[in-house]
Amino acid sequence: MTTKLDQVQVQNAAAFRGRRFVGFVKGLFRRPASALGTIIFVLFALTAFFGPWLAPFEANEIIYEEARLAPSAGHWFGTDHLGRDVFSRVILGARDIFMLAGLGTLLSVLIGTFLGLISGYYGGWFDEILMRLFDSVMSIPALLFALLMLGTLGPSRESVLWVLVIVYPPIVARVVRSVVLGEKQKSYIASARTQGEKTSFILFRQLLPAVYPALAVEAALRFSYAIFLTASLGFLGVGVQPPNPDWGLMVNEARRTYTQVPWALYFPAGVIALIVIGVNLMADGLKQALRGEE
Amino acid sequence: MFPKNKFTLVAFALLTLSALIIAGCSSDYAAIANQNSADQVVQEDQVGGVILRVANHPIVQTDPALISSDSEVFVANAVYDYLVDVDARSNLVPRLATEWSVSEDGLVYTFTLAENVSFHDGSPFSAADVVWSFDRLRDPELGFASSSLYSNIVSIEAAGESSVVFTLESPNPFFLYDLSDNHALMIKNGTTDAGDFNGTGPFTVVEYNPEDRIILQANPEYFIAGQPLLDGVEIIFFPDDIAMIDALRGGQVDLVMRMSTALFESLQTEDGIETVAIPTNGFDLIRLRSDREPGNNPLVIEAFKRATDRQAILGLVHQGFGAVGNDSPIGPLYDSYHDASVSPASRDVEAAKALLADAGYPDGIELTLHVPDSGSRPDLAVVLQQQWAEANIFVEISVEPESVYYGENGWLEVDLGITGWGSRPYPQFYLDVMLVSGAEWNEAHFADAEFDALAQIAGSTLDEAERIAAYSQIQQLLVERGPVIIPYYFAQFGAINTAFAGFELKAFPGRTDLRTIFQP
Repeated sequence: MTTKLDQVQVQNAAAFRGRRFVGFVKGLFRRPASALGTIIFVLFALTAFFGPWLAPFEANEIIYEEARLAPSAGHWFGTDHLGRDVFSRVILGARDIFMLAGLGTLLSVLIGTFLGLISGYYGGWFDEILMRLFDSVMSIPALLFALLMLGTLGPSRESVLWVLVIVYPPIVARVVRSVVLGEKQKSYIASARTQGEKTSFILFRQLLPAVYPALAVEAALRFSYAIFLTASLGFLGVGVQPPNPDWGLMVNEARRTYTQVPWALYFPAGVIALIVIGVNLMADGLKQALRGEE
Repeated sequence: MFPKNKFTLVAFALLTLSALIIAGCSSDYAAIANQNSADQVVQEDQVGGVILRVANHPIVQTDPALISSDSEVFVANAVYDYLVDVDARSNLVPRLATEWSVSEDGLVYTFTLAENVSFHDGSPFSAADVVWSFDRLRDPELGFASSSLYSNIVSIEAAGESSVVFTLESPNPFFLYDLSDNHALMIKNGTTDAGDFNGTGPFTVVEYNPEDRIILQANPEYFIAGQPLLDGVEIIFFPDDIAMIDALRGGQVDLVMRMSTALFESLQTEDGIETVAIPTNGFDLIRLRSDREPGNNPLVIEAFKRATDRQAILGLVHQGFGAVGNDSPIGPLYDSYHDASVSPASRDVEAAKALLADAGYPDGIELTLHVPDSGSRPDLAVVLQQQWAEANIFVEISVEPESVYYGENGWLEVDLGITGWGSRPYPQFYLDVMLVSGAEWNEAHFADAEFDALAQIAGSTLDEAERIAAYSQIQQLLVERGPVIIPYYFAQFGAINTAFAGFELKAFPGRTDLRTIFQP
C-alpha cells in the first residue's frame, strides 16, 4: 500500500530530476561556444531526421537541363557535374552519416561501457588480457586499421559500421575502466559488497551512474570522430559507395570537377568541418555542465 | 592518425576545410604538394639533354606479347618497333618494314625490312627476328591473346636477310592492320626473357623501378637518322589521374594522356599547357552476360536498351565531347563502314517495363553493375542507375580499381559490367575479339550464328562493297539484339607542356609517337 509519504518522495524525486535537467541544459548554454556547438548539433540532428521532407530533390535525381549550375534560388548549393542538387544531397547525406556514425557510436559506447565496467570492477587476469588486447587494437591508427579492415571486408556501409564498432569500444572501455577503478575504492561500494548486493546491482546501479559524466563527454567525442572517419573513408573511396550522398564521397567526386563546379566541393566539405567543430564544442560544454553539477 | 585532444581535432578540421578551399582556388597547391616528388625527379635524372617527363599508370607486364594496358603499350612502343605502324589518322605507315607488296589473290605479303637496324644489345636485326617474333605470337601452345588474331597465317618465312614473306590461309583485308597490333613488336630471335627491353626501338631503358618510374635514353643507333629528337624520356608512374594532372600543373611532368573530360576541362584555362582533344572510336561498353539469366532472355536485353537515353548520357558524362553511340563498335569515325541510318530505338521507359514484365520480371530486376574506377565510368554508372531505375531495372554500383575489375578475369564473369575499349584503326578487331562466339574477350558471352557469319564475311572478303553491306547488317543486328549498349564514342584527351612541340596524340594514346616530339 502506498503511503502519502511515498508519494511525496516520488514527486520530490521527479522534481529533483527535472531541476537537474534544467540545470544541465543551462550549464550547456552558459558559454557561447558550447551553446553554439549544441545548436549546430541539434540543427544537424533535426536535418538528419526531417531531411526527406526538407530536401527539394531526391539525392540521385538527375536534372538533365540543369547540370553544373552555380548556387541560386532554385538550387541553394548549386548542382553538381551530373545535374544533382547539391543542397538535397547534403541534407539527405546528413541522415546517412548521422545514422552510420550515430549507430556506430551507440554500439561502441554500449560495448565499451560493458567491458570497461567488468574489466575495472573485477580486475585480475581478465582485466589484464582485455587491456593488452585493447592496447594492440589502439596501437594501430584508426584510419589505417579501417583501411585494412575495408580491404578485407570490401567497401560498404555495413563494413564501415563494423570498423567503428571494432575501433572505438576499446577507447570507451578505457575511460569507463579508469573511472571504475577510482570509484570501487570508495566506501559505498565496499558497504554494498558487505551487504551482499548482487554484482549486477553494484555494476549497473551504483558504478554506472558514476561513469555517466565521463561517458557523455566520451560519447560526444566518439561521435565526432566517427563522422570524421566515415567521411574520410568515403573520400578515399573505400567507405560508402556511389551514388550514395555520403559527404566524404561527395567531396571526392567533386574534386575531379572543382574548377568548373567548386560549390559541389565546398558545401559537403564545409558541413563535415562544421559538424565536427560543433560536436566538439558541445562535448566541451557537456564536460563543463556535468562538472558544474557535481 | 587522429589527434588525441579535441582542440587539435577542431584545428585539424579547420585546417582541412581551409586546405580544401585553397585546393579549389589555386593550382599552386599542386606545386606545394608535389614538391617532394619534384626533388626526387631532379635527383634521379640520369640522362642529360632534353627529357620529356610523362605521367602514366604503373606498368606490370613488360613482355610485348603480354602487354595490355595503355601505359604498357606506351613503354613498349618506345623500346621496341612494329613492322608496320599506324599514324594518327589510322593510315598504315612503314616502320621496320620499309615497303611491302601483296599478291593478287591476297594471300602472300612480302615485306622489305629497313637496313642497319640493331637491337639495344648491339646484335643486328634481320628477317629471322621477324619470323621468330611472329611465330611466338601466333603459337597456340604459348597461349598469347594474339594467337587467335594470327591463326590465319599459314607460314612466315625469311627470304634472305632483309625480306619476309607471310602466307595466309584465306584473304584478310585487314592483315596489315593486324600486323600493327599492339603486341606485334619485334624482339630478338631466341630471346628467353622477352621482358628484358632488348628492342630495336627509338629509346633504350636506363632504369626501371616498378611502380615508380622508367627512365629511357635516346637510342643513338636508331635506324631512322635524326630520330628520336628527344634525348630521353622519363615515365613516372602515378596511381591516380588527379595526381597526374596536379603534377602537370605543378610542372613536375610534361605530358599526360588519357584523362576524364572533367579533368581535361579543368586544364583549359591553364597557362603553359597545350590541350589536345581528338575524336576516337573508343567507347564504354555496357554489357549483359547473355549465356545465363537474366541476360539470356532477348526481352531483357531489349528492356535495357529501351531504358537507356544515350544522348543524355553523352551530355552529362562527357559534356558532349565525342559522339552518340549506336550499340555497335563500328562508330562514325569508320567513314565508309559506319551506317548512320542505323540507330537504337529511342528511350521508352514504359516499353522497357512492359518488356521486363513479358520476360517474367513484373516487379523489375536487380543486378550489380561492376565498374572500373577509371575515366568517367563511375559517372556513367550513376546516370545509368538513375535512368534504369525508372524502368524497374535496379542496379547496385560496385566501383572497383582496374586491377580488381580486370584481375583474375573477373570482368569476363560478371553479369553486368562497364568496360572501356580503346580505339582501333579498323572495326573488325572488336568483332573478332569481343563479339564472335567464343572469342577471347567475349565478355557478354554473345553467341549468334548470324552475327558470326556476317563477321566472317566482313573479315575475309576482298570486295569492299560486300564488306560495307555486312557491316551495315551487323550494326542493325547489334542494335536489335546485341547484349551490349554503347552509349557514346569518346574523345581522347592529352595535355603537354608548351615547351614541347611535335606531339600528335593518337586515338590509342599508348601508340603515340615519341620520336617526333622535340623542344623548339
